[in-house]
Amino acid sequence: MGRALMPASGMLSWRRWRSTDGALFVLLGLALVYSYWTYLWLPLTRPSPQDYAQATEYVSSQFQPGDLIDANPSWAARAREYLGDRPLVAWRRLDGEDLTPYSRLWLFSLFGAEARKPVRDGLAGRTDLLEERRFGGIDVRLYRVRDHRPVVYDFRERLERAAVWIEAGTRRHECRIWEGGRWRCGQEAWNCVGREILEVGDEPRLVIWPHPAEWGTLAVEFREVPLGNALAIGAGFTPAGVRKGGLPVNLSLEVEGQPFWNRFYEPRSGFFRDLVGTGPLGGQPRTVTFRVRTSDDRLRHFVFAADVRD
Amino acid sequence: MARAGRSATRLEHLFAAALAAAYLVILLATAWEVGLTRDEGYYFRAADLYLGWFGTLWEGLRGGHLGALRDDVIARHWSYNWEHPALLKTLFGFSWKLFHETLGWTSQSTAYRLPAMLLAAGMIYLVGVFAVEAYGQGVALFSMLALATTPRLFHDAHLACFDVGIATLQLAVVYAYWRGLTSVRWSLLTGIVFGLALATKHNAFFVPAILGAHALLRGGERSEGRGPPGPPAPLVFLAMAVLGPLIFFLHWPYLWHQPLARLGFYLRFHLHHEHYPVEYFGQVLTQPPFPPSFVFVMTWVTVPLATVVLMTVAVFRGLRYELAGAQGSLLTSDSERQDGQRTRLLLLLAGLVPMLVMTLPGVPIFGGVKHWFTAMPTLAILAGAEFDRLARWALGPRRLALRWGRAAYGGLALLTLLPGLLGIRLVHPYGIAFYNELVGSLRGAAELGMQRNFWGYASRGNLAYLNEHVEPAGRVFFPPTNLDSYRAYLRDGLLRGDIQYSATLNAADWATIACEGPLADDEYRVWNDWETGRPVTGVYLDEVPMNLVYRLPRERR
Repeated sequence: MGRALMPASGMLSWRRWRSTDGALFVLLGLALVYSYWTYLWLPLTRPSPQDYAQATEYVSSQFQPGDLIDANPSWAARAREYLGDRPLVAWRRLDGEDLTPYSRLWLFSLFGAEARKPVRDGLAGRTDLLEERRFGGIDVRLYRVRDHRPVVYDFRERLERAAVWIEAGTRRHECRIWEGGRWRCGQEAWNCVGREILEVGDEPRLVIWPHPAEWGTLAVEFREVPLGNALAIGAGFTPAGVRKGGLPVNLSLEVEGQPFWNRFYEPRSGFFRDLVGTGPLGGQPRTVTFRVRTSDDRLRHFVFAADVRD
Repeated sequence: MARAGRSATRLEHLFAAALAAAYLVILLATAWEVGLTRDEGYYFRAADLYLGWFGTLWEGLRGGHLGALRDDVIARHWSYNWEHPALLKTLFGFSWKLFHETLGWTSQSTAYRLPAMLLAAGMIYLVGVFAVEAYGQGVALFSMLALATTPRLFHDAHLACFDVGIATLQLAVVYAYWRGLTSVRWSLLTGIVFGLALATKHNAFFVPAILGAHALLRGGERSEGRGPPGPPAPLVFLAMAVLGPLIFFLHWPYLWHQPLARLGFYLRFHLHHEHYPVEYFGQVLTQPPFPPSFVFVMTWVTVPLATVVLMTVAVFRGLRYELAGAQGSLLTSDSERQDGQRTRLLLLLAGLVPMLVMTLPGVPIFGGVKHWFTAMPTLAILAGAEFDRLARWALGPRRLALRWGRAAYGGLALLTLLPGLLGIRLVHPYGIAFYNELVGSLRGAAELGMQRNFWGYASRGNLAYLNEHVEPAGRVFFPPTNLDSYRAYLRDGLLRGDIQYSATLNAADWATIACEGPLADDEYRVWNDWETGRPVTGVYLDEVPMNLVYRLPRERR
């Protein structure tokens, strides 16, 4: 008798669980399973201080000039405490960054971030894996960068040796005071040409801040520049400049007073790169002049970086 | 399910009070490690100034003169921080006077914070009483614990701020109104509590909209004689209209001599409030309007997952039943269809209106979920009712009558609420960093580009390091921890007395940097000007940096 009733009871129970309340109860159950899984998984994947000590000691011992360390994911940058005095970035999008200034790339990854698509895409075809080591919760990989083009002259590093002025018609206002890493071009704090680290295109970047003035053209001139095979130029706006919108900024380049290259930058998010060949001009050191113009200087937080590549 | 007219028993009151007291004890025991937020520093100073006025008044009364009532004397004490009403700041001041200066029971900061913690405990108590009267003991217990284990609310419950306080006061108004549906005394009391809410924070301006909507939607039933007998609906609104502004005016001496002009300052400040940039899915929001989804998405990712699932199901179920009822087709599955007080409708309105207000296009960018904490108590009750429904469905009425059935109910409740406690354990004392399991906790939030820091409070975690390492009279750059918070740390002995506050990086030897998207330039400035990208220590939560300490390199000193 009891046996005979069981299937019917089971069916009743199944129907009960297929009701709205049954579905909601299952939903709550799934949420709880996921919650407990999360709180179990978090400590299991967290690297220990010993993992950090071993991994960073290994990177330090193998580090060479021309190497770059990328802490990955971008927010997990505790590695800075150990390796922060070496070239270290924490790129949000490795696939959008230029690796060629560096000979080798150390990928210092936590939480399996080395396997993420932007990272894989950013490395594929541009690097060769040299070695891989695991230190508990930390994955360290060393890559050789293909098409490495060493930097032979960095304009930002030599900014204090540059001549800076604003010209309007026949007037020329010299920016003669070098103070705190900036050439002062006026009383206002923003009116300067400075060596800065600012967020451009979602990354902090080492850039030159040449705030344009609408009443004239801002010029930054470098003498005795050893022109190699190419000039790498990147430029863009800080988030405040992007938010403000407005008119574009023009960045142009002269070599020995002759127009050489020119680009307009709209105030939108991004760090826009150009690699301009300089082969025919190579050989003798040259005078290189950057000119920045806009017809609207309000919140024109425009910056650029440039270097000469072999 | 709602049981109109049932008052909580003495034992139920005692139980709710005991749980609230336990919550208060936990808050007090954990407060010392919770860093001071920018606003708290301002409110401490305001509390001192306001207390000073009471001192002047007392001295005057003893000497037989009332000079303290002159406008110049009032303005000297009360014109500071006029952008918020004075009730809580005044309580902070008296608490400091009593618990720190007179009794010496607590540190200075904890004494200032104590009234806010008491109000937080009061919220737990009120939720318990409201829920037990509306739905029963199981719902009450679950709702109280759900609220207590909401990590962001737990964090803010420690702070000498107004957000948890106004959440308590709004709940008190809603509860008093609900009781006032059947009682003249409670109707009048609603007016008084509303006045106290107005004296707490401007969120109270939206409470009449909640109650008004409830009264309107319930009006039909009253006219049909379906509701319980009670005073006429206008009474409660009359009480609020008279007593509310009166208490608001009386509590704030700043208004006494120039009520309209100064009320105008206050209102204009909030109508033209500055924006606080906030990170949201990798974007820094700086200008209104918020994305319309902001408030709801932020709630969904900052309340423990199981709790927010229950809240959401309860809201959708409640709306479905209420809409059906409004169309005259009460659903038989609606267990509350006979509730003449329309309790569920009131809870829905009190839970949703604060969130909807924050989605209005003109609302300034604030970012913190604390701005709609007023929604949480009633949403917690709704979540409790939903849990109760599902648990009863799963266990069945026969099993619930048995001891093991009740134990299973309790076990299921604990199992549902324990993740909230695990969340608190993960993030405390940096509760503003809490994100729930849905986004992968704090780590996932960092990955998604969500705000994890605010107000400079995380520098608290680096004070011990600074005490140990900063050279005598060393200067520390503390953005965005403000001077008032720094002074409070000094007064409490949490920061060495000789360590100096540097307003600029250039004049500093050390810097504590908040890891917060909108303030990222502070860290880049250190990298650039000090030419180092190497912090010497930091506060990390699950490897997510919260606050980093940099030291000026030796060669640049």
